Amino acid sequence: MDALVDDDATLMLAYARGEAAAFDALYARHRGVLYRFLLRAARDPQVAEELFQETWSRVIASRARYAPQAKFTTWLLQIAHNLLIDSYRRKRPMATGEEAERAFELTASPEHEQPEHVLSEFERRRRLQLAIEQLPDEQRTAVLLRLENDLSVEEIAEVTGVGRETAKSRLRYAMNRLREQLAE
Amino acid sequence: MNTHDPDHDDLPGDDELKALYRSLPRKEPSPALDAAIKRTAADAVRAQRQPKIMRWPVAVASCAVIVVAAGLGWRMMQQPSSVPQIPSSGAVVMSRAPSNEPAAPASAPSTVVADSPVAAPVTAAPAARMAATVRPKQESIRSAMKPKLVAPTVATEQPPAAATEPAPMVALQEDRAADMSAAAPVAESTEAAYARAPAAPPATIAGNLEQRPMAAMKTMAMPAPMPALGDTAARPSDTPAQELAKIRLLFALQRHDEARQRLRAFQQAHPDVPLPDDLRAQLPDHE
Repeated sequence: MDALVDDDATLMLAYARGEAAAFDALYARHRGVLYRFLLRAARDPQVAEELFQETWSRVIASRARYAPQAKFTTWLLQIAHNLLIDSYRRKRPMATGEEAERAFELTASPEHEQPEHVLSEFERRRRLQLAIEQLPDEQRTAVLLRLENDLSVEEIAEVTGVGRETAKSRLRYAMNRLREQLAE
Repeated sequence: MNTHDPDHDDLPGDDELKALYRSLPRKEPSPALDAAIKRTAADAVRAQRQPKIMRWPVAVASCAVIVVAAGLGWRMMQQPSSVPQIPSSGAVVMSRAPSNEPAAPASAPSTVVADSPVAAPVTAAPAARMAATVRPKQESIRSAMKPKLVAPTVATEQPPAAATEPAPMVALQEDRAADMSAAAPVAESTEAAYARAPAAPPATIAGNLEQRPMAAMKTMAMPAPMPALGDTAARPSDTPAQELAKIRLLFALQRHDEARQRLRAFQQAHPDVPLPDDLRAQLPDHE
Protein backbone atom coordinates (compact mmCIF):
# COMPACT_ATOMS: atom_id res chain seq x y z
CA MET A 1 0.00 0.00 0.00
CA ASP A 2 2.70 2.45 1.01
CA ALA A 3 4.77 1.37 -1.92
CA LEU A 4 1.77 1.95 -4.16
CA VAL A 5 1.24 5.39 -2.69
CA ASP A 6 4.84 6.18 -3.21
CA ASP A 7 4.60 4.87 -6.72
CA ASP A 8 1.62 7.10 -7.45
CA ALA A 9 3.41 10.16 -6.12
CA THR A 10 6.56 9.26 -7.99
CA LEU A 11 4.63 8.81 -11.21
CA MET A 12 2.85 12.10 -10.75
CA LEU A 13 6.08 13.93 -10.07
CA ALA A 14 7.65 12.30 -13.10
CA TYR A 15 4.74 13.43 -15.21
CA ALA A 16 5.10 16.94 -13.83
CA ARG A 17 8.69 16.85 -15.07
CA GLY A 18 7.42 16.05 -18.56
CA GLU A 19 7.37 12.25 -18.78
CA ALA A 20 4.15 11.40 -20.58
CA ALA A 21 4.64 7.67 -19.96
CA ALA A 22 4.36 8.26 -16.22
CA PHE A 23 0.91 9.68 -16.71
CA ASP A 24 -0.14 6.67 -18.75
CA ALA A 25 0.88 4.36 -15.92
CA LEU A 26 -0.89 6.49 -13.35
CA TYR A 27 -4.00 6.65 -15.47
CA ALA A 28 -4.05 2.90 -16.00
CA ARG A 29 -3.99 2.37 -12.25
CA HIS A 30 -6.89 4.64 -11.35
CA ARG A 31 -9.09 4.92 -14.38
CA GLY A 32 -11.47 2.07 -13.61
CA VAL A 33 -12.00 2.84 -9.94
CA LEU A 34 -12.52 6.53 -10.57
CA TYR A 35 -14.84 5.92 -13.48
CA ARG A 36 -17.09 3.53 -11.56
CA PHE A 37 -17.20 5.84 -8.57
CA LEU A 38 -18.34 8.72 -10.77
CA LEU A 39 -20.71 6.55 -12.76
CA ARG A 40 -22.57 5.32 -9.70
CA ALA A 41 -22.40 8.60 -7.87
CA ALA A 42 -23.64 10.71 -10.77
CA ARG A 43 -26.14 8.05 -11.96
CA ASP A 44 -25.80 9.32 -15.48
CA PRO A 45 -23.22 7.85 -17.85
CA GLN A 46 -22.88 11.06 -19.85
CA VAL A 47 -22.35 13.20 -16.77
CA ALA A 48 -19.98 10.59 -15.40
CA GLU A 49 -17.86 10.72 -18.54
CA GLU A 50 -17.73 14.50 -18.42
CA LEU A 51 -16.73 14.48 -14.78
CA PHE A 52 -14.17 11.76 -15.41
CA GLN A 53 -12.57 13.72 -18.19
CA GLU A 54 -12.66 16.94 -16.24
CA THR A 55 -11.07 15.29 -13.24
CA TRP A 56 -8.12 14.13 -15.27
CA SER A 57 -7.90 17.47 -17.02
CA ARG A 58 -7.50 19.12 -13.65
CA VAL A 59 -4.88 16.61 -12.65
CA ILE A 60 -3.00 17.46 -15.84
CA ALA A 61 -3.40 21.20 -15.37
CA SER A 62 -2.22 21.17 -11.78
CA ARG A 63 0.69 18.80 -12.25
CA ALA A 64 3.23 21.54 -11.61
CA ARG A 65 1.63 22.37 -8.26
CA TYR A 66 1.28 18.79 -7.12
CA ALA A 67 3.00 18.13 -3.82
CA PRO A 68 2.89 14.59 -2.42
CA GLN A 69 1.60 15.66 0.98
CA ALA A 70 -1.46 13.39 0.77
CA LYS A 71 -2.09 10.14 -1.03
CA PHE A 72 -2.52 10.57 -4.73
CA THR A 73 -5.80 8.65 -4.52
CA THR A 74 -7.15 11.04 -1.91
CA TRP A 75 -6.14 14.03 -4.01
CA LEU A 76 -7.68 12.51 -7.13
CA LEU A 77 -10.94 11.67 -5.37
CA GLN A 78 -11.09 15.14 -3.82
CA ILE A 79 -11.02 16.65 -7.29
CA ALA A 80 -13.67 14.23 -8.49
CA HIS A 81 -15.84 14.82 -5.45
CA ASN A 82 -15.71 18.58 -5.85
CA LEU A 83 -16.78 18.23 -9.46
CA LEU A 84 -19.51 15.87 -8.39
CA ILE A 85 -20.82 18.37 -5.84
CA ASP A 86 -20.88 21.06 -8.53
CA SER A 87 -22.79 18.68 -10.75
CA TYR A 88 -25.33 17.99 -8.01
CA ARG A 89 -25.80 21.70 -7.47
CA ARG A 90 -26.34 22.35 -11.13
CA LYS A 91 -28.97 19.63 -11.29
CA ARG A 92 -31.20 20.65 -8.44
CA PRO A 93 -31.13 22.58 -5.18
CA MET A 94 -29.62 20.39 -2.54
CA ALA A 95 -30.52 20.10 1.10
CA THR A 96 -27.68 20.45 3.55
CA GLY A 97 -26.02 17.32 4.78
CA GLU A 98 -27.75 17.33 8.12
CA GLU A 99 -31.17 17.95 6.58
CA ALA A 100 -30.68 15.20 4.06
CA GLU A 101 -29.70 12.75 6.73
CA ARG A 102 -32.70 13.67 8.85
CA ALA A 103 -34.98 13.30 5.85
CA PHE A 104 -33.46 9.95 5.12
CA GLU A 105 -34.14 8.74 8.64
CA LEU A 106 -37.78 9.80 8.46
CA THR A 107 -38.42 8.43 5.02
CA ALA A 108 -40.05 5.02 5.13
CA SER A 109 -38.46 2.26 3.12
CA PRO A 110 -40.34 1.46 -0.07
CA GLU A 111 -42.43 -1.66 0.06
CA HIS A 112 -40.99 -4.62 -1.69
CA GLU A 113 -43.16 -6.25 -4.24
CA GLN A 114 -42.44 -9.81 -3.21
CA PRO A 115 -40.97 -9.97 0.32
CA GLU A 116 -41.11 -13.73 0.48
CA HIS A 117 -39.19 -14.12 -2.73
CA VAL A 118 -35.79 -15.66 -2.38
CA LEU A 119 -33.61 -13.31 -4.29
CA SER A 120 -31.34 -14.63 -6.90
CA GLU A 121 -27.82 -13.33 -7.03
CA PHE A 122 -28.73 -11.30 -10.05
CA GLU A 123 -31.66 -9.79 -8.24
CA ARG A 124 -29.50 -8.94 -5.23
CA ARG A 125 -27.07 -7.09 -7.44
CA ARG A 126 -29.88 -5.23 -9.13
CA ARG A 127 -31.33 -4.25 -5.78
CA LEU A 128 -27.98 -3.09 -4.53
CA GLN A 129 -27.58 -0.87 -7.55
CA LEU A 130 -31.05 0.58 -7.10
CA ALA A 131 -30.50 1.08 -3.40
CA ILE A 132 -27.26 2.92 -4.00
CA GLU A 133 -28.92 5.11 -6.58
CA GLN A 134 -31.73 5.99 -4.17
CA LEU A 135 -29.41 7.13 -1.41
CA PRO A 136 -29.02 10.84 -0.76
CA ASP A 137 -26.01 12.28 -2.51
CA GLU A 138 -23.75 12.57 0.54
CA GLN A 139 -24.53 9.06 1.73
CA ARG A 140 -24.15 7.63 -1.73
CA THR A 141 -20.76 9.30 -2.10
CA ALA A 142 -19.64 8.02 1.28
CA VAL A 143 -20.71 4.46 0.67
CA LEU A 144 -19.21 4.40 -2.83
CA LEU A 145 -15.91 5.66 -1.48
CA ARG A 146 -16.09 2.81 0.97
CA LEU A 147 -17.23 0.03 -1.36
CA GLU A 148 -15.59 1.04 -4.61
CA ASN A 149 -12.47 2.80 -3.41
CA ASP A 150 -12.13 0.97 -0.12
CA LEU A 151 -11.36 4.14 1.84
CA SER A 152 -11.34 4.36 5.60
CA VAL A 153 -13.70 6.67 7.47
CA GLU A 154 -10.87 9.16 7.93
CA GLU A 155 -10.11 9.12 4.23
CA ILE A 156 -13.77 9.54 3.36
CA ALA A 157 -13.90 12.51 5.69
CA GLU A 158 -10.81 13.98 4.03
CA VAL A 159 -12.13 13.48 0.52
CA THR A 160 -15.57 14.85 1.23
CA GLY A 161 -14.29 17.66 3.41
CA VAL A 162 -16.31 16.88 6.50
CA GLY A 163 -15.49 15.78 9.99
CA ARG A 164 -14.82 12.18 10.84
CA GLU A 165 -18.06 11.75 12.77
CA THR A 166 -20.13 13.17 9.98
CA ALA A 167 -18.49 10.85 7.52
CA LYS A 168 -19.00 7.91 9.79
CA SER A 169 -22.66 8.82 10.36
CA ARG A 170 -23.30 9.08 6.63
CA LEU A 171 -21.61 5.81 6.00
CA ARG A 172 -23.54 4.02 8.71
CA TYR A 173 -26.92 5.32 7.54
CA ALA A 174 -26.11 4.41 3.98
CA MET A 175 -25.04 0.87 4.82
CA ASN A 176 -28.06 0.29 7.02
CA ARG A 177 -30.26 1.41 4.19
CA LEU A 178 -28.58 -0.90 1.71
CA ARG A 179 -28.89 -3.86 4.06
CA GLU A 180 -32.56 -3.11 4.58
CA GLN A 181 -33.16 -2.96 0.88
CA LEU A 182 -31.42 -6.27 0.34
CA ALA A 183 -33.25 -7.97 3.22
CA GLU A 184 -36.71 -7.01 2.06
CA MET B 1 -6.03 1.18 -1.94
CA ASN B 2 -7.24 -1.01 0.84
CA THR B 3 -6.82 0.68 4.15
CA HIS B 4 -6.99 -0.92 7.51
CA ASP B 5 -10.02 0.61 9.11
CA PRO B 6 -10.27 0.81 12.90
CA ASP B 7 -13.98 1.43 12.40
CA HIS B 8 -14.44 -1.90 10.71
CA ASP B 9 -16.31 -3.41 13.62
CA ASP B 10 -18.55 -0.39 13.89
CA LEU B 11 -19.94 -1.00 10.41
CA PRO B 12 -21.81 -4.28 10.59
CA GLY B 13 -22.32 -6.00 7.25
CA ASP B 14 -19.46 -4.15 5.68
CA ASP B 15 -17.77 -7.25 4.30
CA GLU B 16 -21.01 -8.67 2.96
CA LEU B 17 -21.82 -5.44 1.13
CA LYS B 18 -18.33 -5.20 -0.24
CA ALA B 19 -18.50 -8.70 -1.60
CA LEU B 20 -21.84 -8.06 -3.22
CA TYR B 21 -20.66 -4.75 -4.59
CA ARG B 22 -17.64 -6.39 -6.20
CA SER B 23 -19.93 -8.72 -8.03
CA LEU B 24 -21.50 -5.76 -9.82
CA PRO B 25 -20.45 -5.17 -13.41
CA ARG B 26 -17.11 -3.43 -13.44
CA LYS B 27 -17.63 -0.80 -16.05
CA GLU B 28 -14.67 1.07 -17.44
CA PRO B 29 -14.20 4.19 -19.51
CA SER B 30 -14.42 3.79 -23.24
CA PRO B 31 -11.23 3.56 -25.31
CA ALA B 32 -12.13 6.85 -26.94
CA LEU B 33 -12.28 8.53 -23.56
CA ASP B 34 -8.97 6.95 -22.60
CA ALA B 35 -7.39 8.17 -25.81
CA ALA B 36 -8.73 11.70 -25.35
CA ILE B 37 -7.36 11.98 -21.84
CA LYS B 38 -3.99 10.54 -22.76
CA ARG B 39 -3.79 12.86 -25.71
CA THR B 40 -4.56 15.83 -23.47
CA ALA B 41 -1.82 14.75 -21.09
CA ALA B 42 0.70 14.27 -23.89
CA ASP B 43 -0.19 17.63 -25.46
CA ALA B 44 0.31 19.36 -22.15
CA VAL B 45 3.78 17.87 -21.80
CA ARG B 46 4.60 18.72 -25.40
CA ALA B 47 3.50 22.32 -24.92
CA GLN B 48 5.63 22.40 -21.81
CA ARG B 49 8.69 21.27 -23.75
CA GLN B 50 8.17 23.34 -26.87
CA PRO B 51 9.07 26.74 -25.46
CA LYS B 52 12.47 25.40 -24.42
CA ILE B 53 13.11 24.16 -27.94
CA MET B 54 11.81 27.27 -29.65
CA ARG B 55 13.43 29.77 -27.35
CA TRP B 56 16.87 29.90 -28.89
CA PRO B 57 15.80 30.63 -32.49
CA VAL B 58 13.67 33.48 -31.23
CA ALA B 59 16.58 34.87 -29.25
CA VAL B 60 18.95 34.55 -32.20
CA ALA B 61 16.42 36.17 -34.54
CA SER B 62 15.89 39.02 -32.10
CA CYS B 63 19.64 39.63 -31.85
CA ALA B 64 19.97 39.55 -35.64
CA VAL B 65 17.18 42.07 -36.07
CA ILE B 66 18.75 44.38 -33.51
CA VAL B 67 22.16 44.16 -35.20
CA VAL B 68 20.69 44.84 -38.65
CA ALA B 69 18.61 47.74 -37.36
CA ALA B 70 21.60 49.26 -35.58
CA GLY B 71 23.73 48.87 -38.70
CA LEU B 72 21.13 50.49 -40.89
CA GLY B 73 20.67 53.31 -38.44
CA TRP B 74 24.40 53.94 -38.25
CA ARG B 75 24.67 53.81 -42.04
CA MET B 76 21.86 56.28 -42.46
CA MET B 77 23.43 58.61 -39.94
CA GLN B 78 26.68 58.49 -41.93
CA GLN B 79 25.00 59.23 -45.26
CA PRO B 80 23.63 62.65 -46.18
CA SER B 81 19.93 62.92 -46.45
CA SER B 82 18.59 62.19 -49.91
CA VAL B 83 15.72 64.58 -49.43
CA PRO B 84 16.82 68.21 -49.57
CA GLN B 85 15.73 70.33 -46.67
CA ILE B 86 13.66 73.18 -48.03
CA PRO B 87 13.89 76.24 -45.87
CA SER B 88 10.91 78.39 -45.13
CA SER B 89 10.21 81.10 -47.62
CA GLY B 90 11.13 83.76 -45.13
CA ALA B 91 14.55 82.26 -44.61
CA VAL B 92 15.15 82.10 -48.33
CA VAL B 93 14.12 85.67 -48.82
CA MET B 94 16.49 86.78 -46.12
CA SER B 95 19.39 84.88 -47.61
CA ARG B 96 18.80 85.69 -51.22
CA ALA B 97 17.50 89.22 -51.35
CA PRO B 98 20.77 91.09 -50.67
CA SER B 99 22.68 89.53 -53.55
CA ASN B 100 19.92 89.29 -56.10
CA GLU B 101 18.39 92.69 -55.74
CA PRO B 102 21.23 94.56 -57.46
CA ALA B 103 21.36 91.98 -60.23
CA ALA B 104 17.68 92.11 -60.97
CA PRO B 105 16.84 94.76 -63.44
CA ALA B 106 13.85 96.81 -62.56
CA SER B 107 12.56 96.59 -66.10
CA ALA B 108 12.20 92.84 -65.99
CA PRO B 109 10.71 91.93 -62.67
CA SER B 110 8.89 88.83 -63.82
CA THR B 111 12.03 86.69 -64.10
CA VAL B 112 13.56 87.64 -60.82
CA VAL B 113 10.29 88.08 -59.17
CA ALA B 114 10.94 84.97 -57.18
CA ASP B 115 14.05 86.53 -55.73
CA SER B 116 12.67 89.93 -54.96
CA PRO B 117 10.17 90.53 -52.24
CA VAL B 118 9.13 93.72 -53.98
CA ALA B 119 7.64 91.71 -56.77
CA ALA B 120 5.18 89.93 -54.52
CA PRO B 121 2.32 92.36 -55.05
CA VAL B 122 2.66 91.98 -58.79
CA THR B 123 1.29 88.43 -58.78
CA ALA B 124 -2.37 87.82 -58.34
CA ALA B 125 -3.64 86.37 -55.09
CA PRO B 126 -5.64 83.48 -56.65
CA ALA B 127 -2.61 82.38 -58.58
CA ALA B 128 -0.62 82.40 -55.37
CA ARG B 129 -3.16 80.17 -53.69
CA MET B 130 -3.06 77.76 -56.59
CA ALA B 131 0.69 77.62 -56.54
CA ALA B 132 0.64 77.00 -52.83
CA THR B 133 -1.43 73.88 -53.34
CA VAL B 134 0.46 72.60 -56.38
CA ARG B 135 3.98 73.24 -55.16
CA PRO B 136 4.31 70.75 -52.32
CA LYS B 137 3.29 67.86 -54.55
CA GLN B 138 5.64 68.86 -57.34
CA GLU B 139 8.54 69.47 -55.03
CA SER B 140 8.08 66.16 -53.33
CA ILE B 141 8.10 64.40 -56.70
CA ARG B 142 11.08 66.36 -57.85
CA SER B 143 13.02 65.73 -54.68
CA ALA B 144 12.41 62.04 -55.00
CA MET B 145 13.81 62.08 -58.54
CA LYS B 146 16.91 64.09 -57.69
CA PRO B 147 20.29 62.40 -57.47
CA LYS B 148 21.34 61.54 -53.97
CA LEU B 149 24.63 63.40 -53.90
CA VAL B 150 22.98 66.56 -52.67
CA ALA B 151 24.42 67.76 -49.41
CA PRO B 152 21.80 68.98 -46.99
CA THR B 153 23.47 72.34 -46.52
CA VAL B 154 23.52 72.92 -50.24
CA ALA B 155 20.05 71.70 -50.83
CA THR B 156 18.65 74.38 -48.61
CA GLU B 157 20.06 77.05 -50.85
CA GLN B 158 19.16 75.91 -54.33
CA PRO B 159 17.21 78.06 -56.76
CA PRO B 160 14.13 75.79 -56.66
CA ALA B 161 13.81 76.73 -53.04
CA ALA B 162 13.59 80.31 -54.08
CA ALA B 163 10.48 79.46 -55.97
CA THR B 164 8.66 79.13 -52.69
CA GLU B 165 8.45 82.85 -52.79
CA PRO B 166 5.72 84.65 -54.72
CA ALA B 167 5.27 84.46 -58.52
CA PRO B 168 3.38 81.18 -58.72
CA MET B 169 3.18 81.23 -62.49
CA VAL B 170 6.91 81.32 -62.64
CA ALA B 171 7.01 78.53 -60.14
CA LEU B 172 4.88 76.29 -62.30
CA GLN B 173 7.00 76.98 -65.31
CA GLU B 174 10.12 76.35 -63.33
CA ASP B 175 8.88 72.92 -62.47
CA ARG B 176 8.16 72.16 -66.07
CA ALA B 177 11.58 73.36 -67.11
CA ALA B 178 13.12 71.37 -64.32
CA ASP B 179 11.61 68.20 -65.64
CA MET B 180 12.85 68.98 -69.11
CA SER B 181 16.36 69.90 -68.09
CA ALA B 182 16.63 66.95 -65.76
CA ALA B 183 16.42 64.73 -68.81
CA ALA B 184 19.46 66.44 -70.29
CA PRO B 185 21.61 67.62 -67.43
CA VAL B 186 24.45 69.89 -68.33
CA ALA B 187 27.78 68.23 -67.82
CA GLU B 188 30.23 70.74 -66.62
CA SER B 189 33.57 70.29 -64.96
CA THR B 190 33.72 70.81 -61.27
CA GLU B 191 36.28 73.58 -61.65
CA ALA B 192 34.17 75.49 -64.13
CA ALA B 193 31.13 75.15 -62.03
CA TYR B 194 33.06 76.34 -59.05
CA ALA B 195 34.32 79.29 -61.03
CA ARG B 196 30.75 80.27 -61.78
CA ALA B 197 29.58 79.68 -58.31
CA PRO B 198 29.21 83.39 -57.55
CA ALA B 199 26.48 83.52 -60.17
CA ALA B 200 24.63 80.90 -58.26
CA PRO B 201 22.62 81.84 -55.21
CA PRO B 202 24.91 83.42 -52.64
CA ALA B 203 24.19 80.88 -49.99
CA THR B 204 26.13 78.39 -52.06
CA ILE B 205 29.20 80.48 -51.65
CA ALA B 206 28.70 80.56 -47.98
CA GLY B 207 28.91 76.78 -47.97
CA ASN B 208 31.78 74.88 -46.54
CA LEU B 209 34.92 75.03 -48.64
CA GLU B 210 35.08 71.30 -48.68
CA GLN B 211 31.57 71.19 -49.99
CA ARG B 212 32.18 73.60 -52.83
CA PRO B 213 32.86 70.98 -55.50
CA MET B 214 29.74 69.23 -54.42
CA ALA B 215 27.86 72.50 -54.51
CA ALA B 216 29.11 73.10 -58.00
CA MET B 217 28.02 69.63 -59.05
CA LYS B 218 24.70 70.31 -57.48
CA THR B 219 24.45 73.50 -59.42
CA MET B 220 25.13 71.59 -62.60
CA ALA B 221 22.68 68.87 -61.84
CA MET B 222 20.10 71.31 -60.69
CA PRO B 223 17.25 71.81 -63.13
CA ALA B 224 17.17 75.26 -64.69
CA PRO B 225 14.11 77.26 -63.95
CA MET B 226 11.88 77.92 -66.93
CA PRO B 227 11.89 81.61 -67.76
CA ALA B 228 8.62 83.39 -67.93
CA LEU B 229 7.03 83.84 -71.28
CA GLY B 230 8.66 86.77 -72.99
CA ASP B 231 11.55 86.74 -70.56
CA THR B 232 14.32 85.57 -72.81
CA ALA B 233 16.84 88.28 -72.07
CA ALA B 234 20.33 87.03 -71.34
CA ARG B 235 21.49 87.78 -67.87
CA PRO B 236 24.99 87.40 -66.48
CA SER B 237 23.63 85.75 -63.38
CA ASP B 238 22.01 82.97 -65.39
CA THR B 239 23.46 79.54 -65.02
CA PRO B 240 24.19 77.56 -68.18
CA ALA B 241 21.06 75.58 -67.64
CA GLN B 242 18.99 78.73 -67.33
CA GLU B 243 20.53 80.16 -70.46
CA LEU B 244 19.81 76.98 -72.38
CA ALA B 245 16.24 77.07 -71.14
CA LYS B 246 15.87 80.61 -72.42
CA ILE B 247 17.32 79.58 -75.78
CA ARG B 248 14.82 76.77 -75.95
CA LEU B 249 12.10 79.26 -75.21
CA LEU B 250 13.26 81.46 -78.07
CA PHE B 251 13.04 78.52 -80.43
CA ALA B 252 9.61 77.80 -79.11
CA LEU B 253 8.58 81.40 -79.77
CA GLN B 254 9.76 80.99 -83.41
CA ARG B 255 12.55 83.50 -82.84
CA HIS B 256 15.05 81.19 -84.49
CA ASP B 257 17.59 83.78 -85.54
CA GLU B 258 17.92 85.23 -82.10
CA ALA B 259 17.97 81.78 -80.60
CA ARG B 260 20.76 80.58 -82.87
CA GLN B 261 22.73 83.72 -82.12
CA ARG B 262 22.34 83.12 -78.42
CA LEU B 263 23.26 79.51 -78.85
CA ARG B 264 26.50 80.40 -80.60
CA ALA B 265 27.24 82.92 -77.89
CA PHE B 266 26.61 80.24 -75.35
CA GLN B 267 29.01 77.86 -77.09
CA GLN B 268 31.70 80.51 -77.02
CA ALA B 269 31.05 81.37 -73.41
CA HIS B 270 30.82 77.77 -72.29
CA PRO B 271 32.94 75.69 -74.64
CA ASP B 272 33.19 72.93 -72.06
CA VAL B 273 29.46 72.51 -71.78
CA PRO B 274 28.11 70.04 -74.34
CA LEU B 275 24.95 71.19 -75.98
CA PRO B 276 21.85 69.10 -75.59
CA ASP B 277 20.91 67.19 -78.71
CA ASP B 278 17.78 69.19 -79.37
CA LEU B 279 19.66 72.48 -79.36
CA ARG B 280 22.63 71.14 -81.28
CA ALA B 281 20.22 70.15 -84.03
CA GLN B 282 19.15 73.74 -84.36
CA LEU B 283 22.61 74.96 -85.34
CA PRO B 284 23.08 75.45 -89.08
CA ASP B 285 26.46 73.69 -89.11
CA HIS B 286 24.97 70.65 -87.49
CA GLU B 287 25.28 67.62 -89.73
